[in-house]
Amino acid sequence: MVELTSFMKGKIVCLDLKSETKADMFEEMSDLISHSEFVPDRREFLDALKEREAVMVTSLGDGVGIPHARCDSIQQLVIAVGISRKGIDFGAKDDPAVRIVFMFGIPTQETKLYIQVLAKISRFARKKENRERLLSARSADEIFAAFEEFDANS
Amino acid sequence: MQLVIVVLYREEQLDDILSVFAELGLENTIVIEGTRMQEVLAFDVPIFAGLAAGSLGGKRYVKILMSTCPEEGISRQIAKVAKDFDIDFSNRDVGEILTLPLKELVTAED
Repeated sequence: MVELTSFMKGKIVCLDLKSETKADMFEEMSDLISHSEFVPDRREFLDALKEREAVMVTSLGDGVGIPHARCDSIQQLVIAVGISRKGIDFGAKDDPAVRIVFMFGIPTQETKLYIQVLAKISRFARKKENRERLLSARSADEIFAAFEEFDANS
Repeated sequence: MQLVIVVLYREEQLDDILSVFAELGLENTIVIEGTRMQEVLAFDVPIFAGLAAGSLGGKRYVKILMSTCPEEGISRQIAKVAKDFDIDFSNRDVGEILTLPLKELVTAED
């Protein structure tokens, strides 16, 4: 089974996103994630994020969004987590305020892994206790620990 | 190699069970729509119409997911992950998971 923590080793976490719009959040989190060695081309990543989002919003419901992009330049799947205290409107009618953002980038050819990771993040996020744990986390380590526990019990 | 078949009696949970398959890497899955014999009899064969008043709940269609998997124990993994989606295969009204050993599988890689 895929372990989410294996793609979170950089602990790319923002516990208080400043952005108030989805477009700004894409910029803010792209900055964050492109500091990792696995996303060398921020512009390509950002464009791919927007392109994917244009197909259908990545809001999952329950205040969770999973914007993601597949890029040729990405070397290895990488997941970042962002928390918005105010909430960000993703444009989904049933979920006006996304407070937990899982952003990930993945090499274009990794289709199987892409599906597996997206499904597993979705399963993590549908549990209320997991969402509450992320929202109350005070450090990247606490966020990471929540995923470690989830991986261990999966 | 295993042939994995999941029969889901609650078609409204198809999204969830597909997510389970996706997470477990069962990417070559095929989804088929089917009907239980008892319900075909009840609704399409007049002499058996009395069955319609039984405990069928009016759910005529089931979803059948078929896939292959190299791992043993995939049925237990499916059942475990599915519980997070409130799909409990220990309840016979929910569905069934079957695995069968495959003697031979010919693919493009061969």
